[in-house]
Amino acid sequence: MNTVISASGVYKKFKLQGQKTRASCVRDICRVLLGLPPKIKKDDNEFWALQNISFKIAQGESVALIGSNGSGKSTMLSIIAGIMPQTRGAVKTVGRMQAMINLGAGFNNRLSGNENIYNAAALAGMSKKETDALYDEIVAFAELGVRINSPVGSYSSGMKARLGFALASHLNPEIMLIDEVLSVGDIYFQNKCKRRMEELKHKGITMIMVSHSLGAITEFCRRTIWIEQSRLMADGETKNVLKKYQEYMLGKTAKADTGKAKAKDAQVERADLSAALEDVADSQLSFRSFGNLQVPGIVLDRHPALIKKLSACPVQDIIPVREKEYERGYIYYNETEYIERLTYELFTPVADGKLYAKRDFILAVCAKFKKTVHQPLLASSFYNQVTLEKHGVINTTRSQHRVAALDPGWHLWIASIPFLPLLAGDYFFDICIKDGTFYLYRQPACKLTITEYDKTIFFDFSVTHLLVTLSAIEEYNIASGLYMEHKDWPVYE
Amino acid sequence: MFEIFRSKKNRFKANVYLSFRLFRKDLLTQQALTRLGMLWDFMEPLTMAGLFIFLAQAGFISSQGLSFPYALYVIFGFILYQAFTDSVNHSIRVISRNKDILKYKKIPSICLAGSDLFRFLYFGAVRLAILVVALLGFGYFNPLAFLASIAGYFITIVFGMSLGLILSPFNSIYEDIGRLVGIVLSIMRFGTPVMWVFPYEKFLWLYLFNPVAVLIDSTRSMATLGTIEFSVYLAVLVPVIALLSLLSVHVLRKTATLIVEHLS
Repeated sequence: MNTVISASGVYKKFKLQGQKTRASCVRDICRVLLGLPPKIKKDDNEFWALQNISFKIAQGESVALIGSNGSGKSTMLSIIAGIMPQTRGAVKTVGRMQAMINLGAGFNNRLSGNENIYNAAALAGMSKKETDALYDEIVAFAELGVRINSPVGSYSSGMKARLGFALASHLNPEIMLIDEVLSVGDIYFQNKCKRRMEELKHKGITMIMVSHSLGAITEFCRRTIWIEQSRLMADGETKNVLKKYQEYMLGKTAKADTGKAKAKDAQVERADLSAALEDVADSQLSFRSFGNLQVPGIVLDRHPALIKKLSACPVQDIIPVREKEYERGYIYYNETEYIERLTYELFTPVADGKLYAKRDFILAVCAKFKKTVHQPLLASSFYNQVTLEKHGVINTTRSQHRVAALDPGWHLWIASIPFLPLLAGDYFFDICIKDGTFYLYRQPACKLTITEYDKTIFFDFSVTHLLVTLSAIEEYNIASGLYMEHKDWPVYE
Repeated sequence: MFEIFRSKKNRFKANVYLSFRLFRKDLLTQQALTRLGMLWDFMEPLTMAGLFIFLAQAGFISSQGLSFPYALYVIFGFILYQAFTDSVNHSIRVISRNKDILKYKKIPSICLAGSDLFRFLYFGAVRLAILVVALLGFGYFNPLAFLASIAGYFITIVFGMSLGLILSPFNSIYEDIGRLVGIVLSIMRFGTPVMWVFPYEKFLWLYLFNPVAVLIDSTRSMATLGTIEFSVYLAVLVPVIALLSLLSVHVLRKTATLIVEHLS
C-alpha cells in the first residue's frame, strides 16, 4: 500500500491563549519573508501542542486520532490539512484532501446554499463541470429541497451541518480528515453520515478521524493513534490502543474521584458462560423455535439441547415493519426480498423483564435468506431507550472469524457479551444484518431494564461508563469470535 | 513532459476557477443587501467629477493649459484614482476578508490575489465603459489610443493591488495599517492630478515621488490626445511594478498560514 500521509518528528508550539502578541506575529512574518524560520525561544507563555509525532498512513486506511481534551489531536489534523504550519518536522500528503474540521465553516450566510455548494466545490479543487455532475447528489443528501436557493443564514444549524457534510463527503476526496463531525445533528443525521462514511471507506478512501466517541472509532477504524499531552502514546490496532487509553482514562478518573472504595467493592466475579447457560435451562423463558434448521454443524453439534429447544415450535414469520421508516432517528430496514424469516432468542436469565448487569448476555439470531449474502455483517447494538445513544455493539466484522458469504437458507448466529458491562437503566438491543454497506435488516429486538448487581455498580462514573462498555464488548469480539466457530462454547446437555 | 504540462494546465484552470468563485462570493456578498448594487461604487467619483465640473464652470478652478475639456480631465482623474484606491483598499483586506475560509481550508494564496484581479477587471470594464461614453460625448474617442490607454489602467490597478497585498498580512494583525492607508490615499488625491491641473514644470518633484500621478496623467493623455507623457519614467516604473507584483504574491504565499494561525 502506498503511504499517503507521512508525519515525521512533528512539533507544534503555541502561545497560551491571549498571549500570542501581535508584535511577535509581525516578527514571525518578517522572519519568514527573509527566509528564516519562526523564532523558537523558551518562553513561559508558550507550550508545545505536539512533540515528536511520527506516523505513516497507507492509502485506504481508516485511522482514529484519540486523546483527552487539549492533547493535540485537532492540531495534528490541522497540520495534516495544511491549514496550520508545524514548528518543526515534516508532513507529507499525497492526494486530494477534504477536511471536515467544522461542518459549515466557510459558508457565506448571505449567499444561497446553491452558491455555497459551488464555492465549496471550487475550494476543494473541483471545476464547474465536475460540480454540476455532483450537484443533484449533494442536494439530495442534504435534504434541503427548495431551501437550497435560500441564503444559508436562514438555515438552522442542523441544515447547515447537513449541507456541510453532504458537500465534504461528495467532493471526491482521496483523503478525508474528520474532526468530531459525526456527533453533529440529530440521530437520524448521524446515522446517515455513518452510512455515507462506510460507503467512502469501502471505496478505499483514506480517513483520519478525531473523535471522543469510541463507538464510532471501533466502527470505522482498524488503527488508532493515541496522542496524550502532546506526545504519541500508542499507535496500533484499535482494540489494543483503546484498551490502553481506557485504562489511562480510568486511572485518571479514579484518581480524581474520591469514591474509590465503591469501585473496589464492585470487583464482582465474572459469571462464566456455563453457569449462565445453566440458568437459561432453569429459567422460565419461552423459546420460539426455528423449525427444521439446516445450520452449519459446529454450533449445532455442540449444543444439542439448545437445538432441541430451538426446534420446539414453528418458525415465526418475519414481522412486517414499515419500510425504512424513521422513528426518533432510528432507521428500520427490512429487505424481504433477501430475508424470508428471522427470529431471535435471548439466553440470559431475565426476571420480571429485568436483566442483571454483570451477567453474560447470550443472543441467538436465526434467519432464512432467500438470496446469497456476499459480504454478510451481523450485529446487535445496545441503545439507551430514551436518548438512543449507542452503548455497545457485537459485530462480526471485527471478529477474527469474519463471516464468509451466506448461501440461501437458514443460518444461526450466536453472540455473547460476557459480564454485560452496562449501568443500570433502560436499554434496547437491535438486530442488524447487512450485505456490505447495504442494510438487509435492522430492527429493535427487545427492551431490557438493567438492574444493579448486588446493589453495586462497577463503574459509577458516568464519563467512563461508555468507555468500559465498549472495551469489554470489543475485547470479547476479538478474543472469542462470535459466529459459529465459538470454540469455547460450553457443552450444554 | 506532456503529463507535467497537463497537470500544470489543470492546476492553473482550477486556480482561475477558484479565483472566480472567490470574486463572485465577495461581489454577491457585497451586493446582497443593496438595491443599486455596484452603482454605489461609481456614485462617488461621478458625483465628485460633476461637482468639480460645476466649480470649474463657476470659475473656482482653473483649467488653463489643458488641451482637452476639463470635464474629461476630471472624469478620467476621479475614475482612475478610484480604481487605484479601490485596488489598494480591497487587496489590503484580502486575508481578513477570507479568514473564515482560510481557517478551515488550505487554498492557494495566488487565488486570493486572483479573486481581487477578477474584481478589478470586472469593475474596470464598467469604468472603461464610462470613460468611452465620456470620450464619445466630447468627441475625443480614438479607438487605438483608447486601447493603448487600457494598458495604463491595468498597470495602475496592478500597482495598487501589489501595494495592498504586501501590506495585507500586517493589516490583518494591525488594522491601523488599513485605516492609515485610507487616510493617506485620501490626502494623496490632492497631490495627484485628479481634479487640479498641475503644470508639469512647477510640480515635477510631485510626479517624481508620486507614481500614481504619472500613471494617471499618462493614461489620460493617451486616451484623450493619443500622446504619452513621462515615457522615460514609465520605462522604469513598469518593471518596478512588475517586480512589486511578484513580491506581493510571494508575501501572500509565505505569510497566509502564519496569519491564519494568529487569527485562529
